[in-house]
Amino acid sequence: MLSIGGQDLFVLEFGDILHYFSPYTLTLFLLAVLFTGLAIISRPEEQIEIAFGGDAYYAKETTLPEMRFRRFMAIACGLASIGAMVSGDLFNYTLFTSMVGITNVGIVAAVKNRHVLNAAYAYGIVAMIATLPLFGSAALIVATTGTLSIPALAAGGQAVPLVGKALLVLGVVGEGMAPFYAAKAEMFRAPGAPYVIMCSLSSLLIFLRVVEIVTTI
Amino acid sequence: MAMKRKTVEYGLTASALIIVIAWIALTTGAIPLWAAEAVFVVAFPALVLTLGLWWRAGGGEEDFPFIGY
Amino acid sequence: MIEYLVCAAAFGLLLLGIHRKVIARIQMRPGPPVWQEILHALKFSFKSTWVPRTASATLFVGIVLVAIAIWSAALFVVLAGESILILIGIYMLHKIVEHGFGLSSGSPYGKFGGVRSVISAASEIPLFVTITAIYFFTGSLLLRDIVAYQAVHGPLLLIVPPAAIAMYLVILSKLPFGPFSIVESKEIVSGYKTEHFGVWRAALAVTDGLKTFVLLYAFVLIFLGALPFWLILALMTAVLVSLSFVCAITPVLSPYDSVTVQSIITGLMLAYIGYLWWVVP
Repeated sequence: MLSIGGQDLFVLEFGDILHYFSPYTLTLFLLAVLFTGLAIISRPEEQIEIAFGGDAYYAKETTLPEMRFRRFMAIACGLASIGAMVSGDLFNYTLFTSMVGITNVGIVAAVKNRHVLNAAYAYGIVAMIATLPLFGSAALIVATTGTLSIPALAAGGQAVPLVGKALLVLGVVGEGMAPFYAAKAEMFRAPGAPYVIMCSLSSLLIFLRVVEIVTTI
Repeated sequence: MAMKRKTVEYGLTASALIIVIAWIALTTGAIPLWAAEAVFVVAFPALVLTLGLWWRAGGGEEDFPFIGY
Repeated sequence: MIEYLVCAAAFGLLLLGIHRKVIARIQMRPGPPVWQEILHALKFSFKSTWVPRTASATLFVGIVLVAIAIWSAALFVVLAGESILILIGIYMLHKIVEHGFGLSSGSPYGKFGGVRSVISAASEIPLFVTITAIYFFTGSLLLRDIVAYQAVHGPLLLIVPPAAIAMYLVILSKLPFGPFSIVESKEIVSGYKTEHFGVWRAALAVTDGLKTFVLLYAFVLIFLGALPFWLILALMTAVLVSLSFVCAITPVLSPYDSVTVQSIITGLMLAYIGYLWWVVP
């Protein structure tokens, strides 16, 4: 297999679906594991907010049920990113990516703040629209080449249509990065750094992985 | 939240020992390069932090500084 | 190997000191001595240190460890001649680290620094364009293959100059006092670094040193190829001084302008890739 991220270290097979670890995917995998661990063991911080037009400031508290739900969502998000990092199957990758989009909405949606909820809503809309090019690309590729396995596609023989790759990148950007430009500033009104970081991290990781995928296949 | 001097000392000794052992193992060829690098990546940050904390860590006998009337 | 880490961090800090000195001389100030950044790192490590009450303590400390760890890993990746995709992954991960630094304390200044860091994600896309352009010619992204390619065909700087410019701008956007350094600009105190004081800040200085060294070293290796080590160090310093000139004569852009300029650069680079894709068989 083309070694764009270094030589394969080992391959984990589940029947015809496999997970492969190259130095690149292993690095991303370890980082996803690390930050998921941090989300599990960290307590949320008390964000200090300055009241506009005065000297007053107050610390936002995160209630226990809210923290529990958001931690659950952050862990789910971490697991989805871990899956997306090592999956050697294009459909599994798109599935994990769409799950990252959903859980990212979940992480901020539990915060009872009108601005944050609006941002989560905007994020959700963009992420939902992006599933169309995302799964569309997987469908296009399987229809033209007859396989979704990344090593099989990388081995050559089948010409992967350029539009399929372009749609895949568009879908991943829509799930992860683009919503930030629609909703980012407001999303960070939400306290709870360990969970909010998972939003950024997962988006970044799926983007880094898709670069490897489109250059490999 | 001041850290105890003992805790910091344990951390410093542990990280320094790990680095030295990995370095010796690497030079004698007992472990491959990537394994030594993995150990350094984990232990070096810990060494930097604990070294800094150790320099200033109190032994528990400090007085409050004079902060004015 | 540990000696490489220490030397790289010290040399990186020295480079940052030279950076400050050059900027100061251009602006007709005396400027600090060139080893000032090394002294800073030592000074901060002697200061008393604790964790703010509002902070998420585990993340507040953990992110410092992660910051040093990822750039140590980056140094080893470059030294081993592994895939530059890993290097770029780590570079982008540095965004998350800045984000973590900023958010973990609960301070509004840190938060603004962190948010700006993620907003300026557009600055990283030229990096991917750079590697795509290199990939068109070398057919591999392993650093040793790129160096081997240049031994045969001459430096990539002459073959794909726009890619070199793109990476140059990417390094520029990570340097302090540059036009794109909105994450730590002074209207938000020190941005994401604001609440990390004492030993945390000393560790951050070590990270900055490693980061500067790795980025410049990788730049020279990727675009000029294998050279004697002393020449690589001299070229790194030369590249840094040229960057200092840019930093000295440009103001810090406002966040929106910074993102706009970086997006325009990304657009130009994408057009260049389209052109390469059309021309190169």
